[in-house]
Amino acid sequence: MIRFVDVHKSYRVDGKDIPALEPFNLEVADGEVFGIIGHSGAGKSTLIRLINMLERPSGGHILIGDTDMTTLTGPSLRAARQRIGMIFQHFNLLSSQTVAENIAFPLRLSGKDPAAIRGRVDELLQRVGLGAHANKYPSQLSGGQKQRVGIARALANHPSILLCDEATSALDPQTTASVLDLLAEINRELKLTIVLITHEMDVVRRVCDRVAVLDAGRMVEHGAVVDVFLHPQHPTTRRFVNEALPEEAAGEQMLYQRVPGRIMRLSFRGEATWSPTLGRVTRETGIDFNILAGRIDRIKDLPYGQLTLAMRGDGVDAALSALREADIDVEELAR
Amino acid sequence: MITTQVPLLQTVFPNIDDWGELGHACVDTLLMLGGSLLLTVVIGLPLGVLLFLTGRGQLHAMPKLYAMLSLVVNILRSIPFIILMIVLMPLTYVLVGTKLGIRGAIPPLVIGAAPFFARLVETALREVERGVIEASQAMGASTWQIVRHVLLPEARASLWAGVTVTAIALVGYTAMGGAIGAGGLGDLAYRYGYLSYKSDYMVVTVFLLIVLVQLLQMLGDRIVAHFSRR
Repeated sequence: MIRFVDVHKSYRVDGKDIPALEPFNLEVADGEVFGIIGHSGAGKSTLIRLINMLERPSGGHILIGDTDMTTLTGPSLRAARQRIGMIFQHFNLLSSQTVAENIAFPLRLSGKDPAAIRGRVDELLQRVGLGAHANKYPSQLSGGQKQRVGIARALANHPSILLCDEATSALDPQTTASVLDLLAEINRELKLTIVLITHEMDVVRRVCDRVAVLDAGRMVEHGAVVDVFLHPQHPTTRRFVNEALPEEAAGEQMLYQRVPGRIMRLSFRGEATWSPTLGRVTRETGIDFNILAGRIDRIKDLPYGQLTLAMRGDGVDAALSALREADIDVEELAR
Repeated sequence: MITTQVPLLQTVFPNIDDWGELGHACVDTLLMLGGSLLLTVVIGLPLGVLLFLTGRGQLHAMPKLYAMLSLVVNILRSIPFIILMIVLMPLTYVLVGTKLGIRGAIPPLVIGAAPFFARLVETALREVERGVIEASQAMGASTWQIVRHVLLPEARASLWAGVTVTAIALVGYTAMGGAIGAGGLGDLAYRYGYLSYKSDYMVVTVFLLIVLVQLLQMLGDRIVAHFSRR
């Protein structure tokens, strides 16, 4: 478990303290994929670097298991860092070394013997699907392949935590998807805790279990991705969610004013997505509805649906309570 | 072969009567160059690494030490070599027991070139991507490991370019040194070509120096190309 206790951070610029992160508390459970989303300058880069002490907090404690990272220095800090893998937006591979040498690098740093290193490197190359590229140099690889090398290197010392610093931001959508799949697979198979920062809600939706939203150094919202995604509270969160669903955000308000009836948003998740509840309820209550917008998708492995409906008829209230009983979230947008 | 060549050379360069002396001067220049380049790298490389590490915002930022080192380097770099050589004569005598010849030339050559090379090293290391250094820190690398396994290998192409530039600067320094008793090609050019008006000496030594510089640059470029991976 990673725990942030009353952590805050400010930078001294020209004799003045500029706050980068306002005090916050946060817990990341073992084995979960935790996302931190925010615009550039929101402090997410600082936050993720607090975990391995690339940045030291101005106050508070960061605990990994029972170890208070803020108390570590020198060799004990270096030893702790070897158990935390990290990957980067721009990969940060050694350009003078081959793929295999890059993956071997953290093993050499920790003083493993050459035979053990060779075996481990082969294993890692297989895991990230780069077996054929062992002797190439980074400049000969595509962005997605470079990130795979980064991932293999980060996993070399069997870390319990993997930090991802905008790991897919420099990649095209297709490559992003394959890298995210790999991260999800690693999380599943190695029971690794993953903390990732991103500015894309879609990355959060695909791989994260929980998410925290940062806005100008303040943690404005955090919780399970499903909750934050389906019911965003803070304006910044809403903007991020809308970015992931542009077609729905555009012209939403205009549309509602033109349609007669009560505008309701229904959110299904999990099992509710598969049962014909809406059909049954409309039949039973005799209401009429019109679908204005909708989508059925997945949040990580959880299927969900969200429909915006215009409902008409005498039985609307009865229908709403019937839907709520069937575990469907109902939200009234306009009357 | 020799009998036919010598008269030809004698017709073109009538004043050069001892070709052996010229060959000897070449060897002296090469010895001075080799010796001083080696020592320059041995002293300049760690100095450059220290400059880099103690610089603003770097791994071991130490503003006061950096300012001091930087000042010393700048002072040594701002003194024209021929003056530096004269100023250093007492020190040279203490160090190598003579002010003359190849041995006497090496201390001033190294003291003149090492700060120059150190600056080139500092610049080369600054070009190493910060992200790569940060990644190494995140992997738990110590400063020494970062220098040894990240900074120097990543910067090796620029470092070799720096060695090449320094070697060529040293060729110029050795020629100047020749004028005040160091021997070598500069000595010949100065004594015969300038003081005795034997301009054919000047032509030949200048030609040999051009060839030497060309060869150094070509060799340097090849090494740099070999190590360039971007």
